Amino acid sequence: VSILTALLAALAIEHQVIYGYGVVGAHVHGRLQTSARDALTAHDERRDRLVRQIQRRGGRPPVAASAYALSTPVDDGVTAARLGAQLEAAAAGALWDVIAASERQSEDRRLGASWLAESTRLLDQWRLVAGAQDLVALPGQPS
Amino acid sequence: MSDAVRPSRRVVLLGLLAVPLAACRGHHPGVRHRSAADPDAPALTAALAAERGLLADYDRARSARASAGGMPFDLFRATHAAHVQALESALNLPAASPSTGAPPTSTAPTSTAPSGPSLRGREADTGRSLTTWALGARQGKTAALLASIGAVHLAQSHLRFHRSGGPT
Repeated sequence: VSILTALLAALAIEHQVIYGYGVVGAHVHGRLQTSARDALTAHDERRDRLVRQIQRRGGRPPVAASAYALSTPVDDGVTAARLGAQLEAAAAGALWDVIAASERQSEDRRLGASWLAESTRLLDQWRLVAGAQDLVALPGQPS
Repeated sequence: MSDAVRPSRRVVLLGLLAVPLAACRGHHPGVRHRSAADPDAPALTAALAAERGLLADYDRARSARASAGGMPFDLFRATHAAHVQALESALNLPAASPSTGAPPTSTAPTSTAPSGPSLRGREADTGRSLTTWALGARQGKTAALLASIGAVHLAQSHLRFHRSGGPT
């Protein structure tokens, strides 16, 4: 996989994650709503950075769809947390590929590693809120 | 790389507009590192030593019933056991090290057992080291593995739990 292909895939995921966090944030309250809002801001910034990384390579960043169909119904805090976990798991998977496709000591790899750490923290948070009894040992790893 | 396309793991939401998603995988589960020729073997070996050290720390903390400081020792220990297995596999070492099994259940407390806060510090320190090794790895798959493990360490250094068991 070329780094451009991996970045394009990661951006496509980010568009979905950003849409999904709008749904998550609408169904959680208190500190979790704050967390969802902060995560949305972080993913907005990640999307913008991915666009620049793609454009630097002459790629054409995909634009977001106007809406996405959810993979799971969301009607309360638990199902919202479950969606949040799915979003971060998907982001982690895309970042694994960005890191694997990147050159050593490159900006792409540095960004990928930093974002993977951020997504892992959120992945654990949402999974535990949704009732998981364990932590993810290798976030992003292909199954 | 000629990787199989597996978009299903990535597509958490189905786009109403078609989103071309070239989610190619950079990983061949059947291919292992060969430590003798692998330029990343030193980093993998250092990562493995760090993981084994953390496992030992968690075992001592549990045995001594050290103050958890909100840390679920068993949950965190389980991730490190998985890391040891992944790194042993990457280094093509014999699997099933006894140290990665179930934690010891009943031993006498020791005065040198690490506390919850000190384990958090160890998680953060090793997380930063793993990220550094990931940045310098020559092989992409090694970089991704080390970055993923490092991400877990960094996340676990921040994770806080309520008494009820949920995260804060």
